[in-house]
Amino acid sequence: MLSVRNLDVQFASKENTVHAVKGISYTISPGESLGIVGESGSGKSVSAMAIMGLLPPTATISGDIDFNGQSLRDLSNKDYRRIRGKKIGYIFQNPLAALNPVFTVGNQMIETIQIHHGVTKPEARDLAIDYLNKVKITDAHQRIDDYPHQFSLGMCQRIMIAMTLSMKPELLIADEPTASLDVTTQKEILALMDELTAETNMAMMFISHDLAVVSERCDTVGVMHLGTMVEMGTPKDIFTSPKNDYTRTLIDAIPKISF
Amino acid sequence: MTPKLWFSMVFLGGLAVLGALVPLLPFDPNAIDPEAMVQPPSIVHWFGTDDLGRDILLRSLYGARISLVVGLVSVSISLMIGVSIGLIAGFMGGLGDAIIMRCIDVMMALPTLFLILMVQVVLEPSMLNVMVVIGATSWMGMARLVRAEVLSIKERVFVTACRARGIAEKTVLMKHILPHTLNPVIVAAMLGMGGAILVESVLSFLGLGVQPPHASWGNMLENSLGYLRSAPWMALIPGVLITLTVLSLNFLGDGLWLLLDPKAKESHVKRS
Amino acid sequence: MSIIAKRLIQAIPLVFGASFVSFLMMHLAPGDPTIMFMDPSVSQNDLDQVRENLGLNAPLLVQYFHWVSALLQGNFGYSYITGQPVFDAICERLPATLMLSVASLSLILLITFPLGILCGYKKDTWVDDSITIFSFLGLSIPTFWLGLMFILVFSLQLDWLPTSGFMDPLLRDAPWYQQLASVLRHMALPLLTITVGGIAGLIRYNRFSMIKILAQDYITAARARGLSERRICFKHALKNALLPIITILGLDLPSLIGGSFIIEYIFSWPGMGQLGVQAVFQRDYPILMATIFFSSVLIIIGNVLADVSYAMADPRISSPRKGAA
Ligand SMILES: Nc1ncnc2c1ncn2[C@@H]1O[C@H](COP(=O)(O)OP(=O)(O)O)[C@@H](O)[C@H]1O
Ligand SMILES: [Mg+2]
Repeated sequence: MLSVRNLDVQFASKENTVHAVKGISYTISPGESLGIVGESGSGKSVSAMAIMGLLPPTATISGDIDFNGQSLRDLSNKDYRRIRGKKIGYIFQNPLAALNPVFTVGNQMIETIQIHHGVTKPEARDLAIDYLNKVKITDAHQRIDDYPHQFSLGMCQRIMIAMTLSMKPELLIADEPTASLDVTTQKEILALMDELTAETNMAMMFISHDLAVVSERCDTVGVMHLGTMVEMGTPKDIFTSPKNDYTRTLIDAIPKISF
Repeated sequence: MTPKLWFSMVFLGGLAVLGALVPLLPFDPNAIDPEAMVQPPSIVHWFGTDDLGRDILLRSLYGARISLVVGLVSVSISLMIGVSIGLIAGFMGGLGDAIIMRCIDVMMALPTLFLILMVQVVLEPSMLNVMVVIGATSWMGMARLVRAEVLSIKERVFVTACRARGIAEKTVLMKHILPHTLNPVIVAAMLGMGGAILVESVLSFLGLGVQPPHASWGNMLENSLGYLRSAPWMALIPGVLITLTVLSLNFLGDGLWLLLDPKAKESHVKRS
Repeated sequence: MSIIAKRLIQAIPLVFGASFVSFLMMHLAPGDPTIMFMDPSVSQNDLDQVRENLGLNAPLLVQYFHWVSALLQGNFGYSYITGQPVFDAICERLPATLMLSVASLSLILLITFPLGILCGYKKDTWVDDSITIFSFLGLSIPTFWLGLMFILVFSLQLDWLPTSGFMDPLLRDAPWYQQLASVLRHMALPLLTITVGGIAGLIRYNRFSMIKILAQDYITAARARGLSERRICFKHALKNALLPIITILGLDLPSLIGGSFIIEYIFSWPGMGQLGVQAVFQRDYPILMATIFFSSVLIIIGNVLADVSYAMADPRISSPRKGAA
């Protein structure tokens, strides 16, 4: 359903050029989950943002991105909007920053649902409350009228997940969804995501800097390093016979206790 | 270097050089010529003449001297007051800081122009008074800025490190904190100088600044009032000169800000 | 609501500070400060009584105390020139000043806000560049000279608008709509002058805050949800951009009000500013002092309003976090 070929992204400024992504390729089939691991700054977010078509104008992009047989790179902004959210959902690393601070959570959810499902406002509100219940926000019918800063970080991420899933995307990109949370909250959010994705046949691209987290829940794992995809395979292949030195250091870095 | 910066440097530099050299010329800016009253710009008088037949170009250059000197001196005065008070408030913290900040709040709420006007009528208006009064009523922004910088620098590790090494508070203040506040202060000084020139022009326009027959752009404008219809160049030229001078200083301040402040640069290019 | 109360309480010492400075200025002025409290109709004996009451030779702070208690009773003294009670003179002028400043403030907001947003949105395009240059120019032009130029062009050359005053004196007995039209025509040029000067500074702030807002995650997130650019700009960015403007407007108030005083003088607009400048020329210290005091109070009130509206507009302040989450 998604195929990325030779994706290459450079950021040019007056002083220097950053070659953030250097010709990476991968595919994701319906229902499949791809994990991308790599240290901070290796180009994970940039490549994911390229799929959303949301890189800033300073980015020079080349390569092909096909989604359901359609080349995303040729889309007009208007057509792209039908893909964003509706077909491909995106979960951000910092949920508090990804929610607009001056609108209530409900306002932002209802707006999103109305745009993509063409329902009335009360219907959208009911749907939003349903999804908030699904991500286990207590008193959802009341808290829907609260502002983002009135929730804890973990709750904000639950809300982001609810908002993203409410659009029923075919592909979900989760960009380090737990990296800004504390350890116990991380576990809760991961469990929640596993539970909710198991209910649907949604494809997923799971980005993380933690090889263990990714290999536990993905069919395929790609390892990124300094903008290149240094290795790709099933989690088993990667753990048993890593071909790349960098992958080996990642494996060594996993605390043995977690196995 | 952007075109804006080039323009500013060339304009201000030219004005300063001409202003410095003009007294060497054998022309008297106050020489009255009954033969050449209220003449429009011509080959002889490039900027025309005023109601007393005085050459406006010559008077404008003498006016430039006044504006630049008033701007420089007033800003230096407000710099000295503002930086000292900002440093003291930021370094003291606590109650002393709170009291100083409330006083600044009061100063900021006062209509500065009227304070200046009142002082000018009570004392007699002179150029020295103008500079002192402008300086003494325009330091508040500078003090707030320096205080904010000091507070943020104080939190950084290296100040604690200095203290840990047993360096005296005063040394820490002068040698290690003061230099860090320099960049924003330079920028504020550029903008402040433009502001001072504007205030001086208002004072002289109201007849409470530089006194005739000495030429300043403000009192040239006052002089032009009766001739707005018949001799518009008398009002046009000093106003354009004030605008261009202040514009150059603002461009310079903005340009320096982009050069010196990494945060400003970031807000210009960054999008993550 | 407690925020309003808190800000009002914080404003009280500021008002006292401003009154103290006004008092000091008065003290600085030559002549006997008691004269200002002399009703022109009272006799010499009564004046001696006033002196006695005020404690002429009392220490400065005691004198200040007496003076403040007179102020609190609404007694601001009498004009040296006309003998009119100062309080009445100020109250007569207040409506014209408020009219001009409220009109210019609204106009400034209405114009600046869309332009600043546009600049931030179209960052580094020719639209942005030209608006930026314009705003620099507006910041650098002496407003009183701009006023003169407007008079030169719109009144003297084109003869579209009157040069000065509040209303055509011939219309004293005309119906109200004719009077209103005349007032508006007289207000046009001073309003335009103040607005041009006021817009310039604000556009720059607006542009920067918009640029910063557009770089935030929540904007990218809104895009990633498939919201239209229009909705993102006019809903999501706009409300966030409004907040800093409230603060900046509060901070800019002194220079806006100060600037409008000289404009009132240029256009003979019968407001507090014109009164004050005239008082300067006539050495009418009681009037001058009251002008200083009242304009400080206006500025302080404006700042309180700005703070309160900020607090109400920003949910992070107005809707506190609830207990544990
Ligand atoms: N808007 C941008 N402009 C310039 N460089 C960028 C921008 N966004 C990301 N980069 C650079 O691209 C590289 C990859 O970033 P990113 O994809 O965010 O890394 P990560 O793998 O941690 O998600 C980094 O070196 C980063 O500095
Ligand atoms: Mg990232």
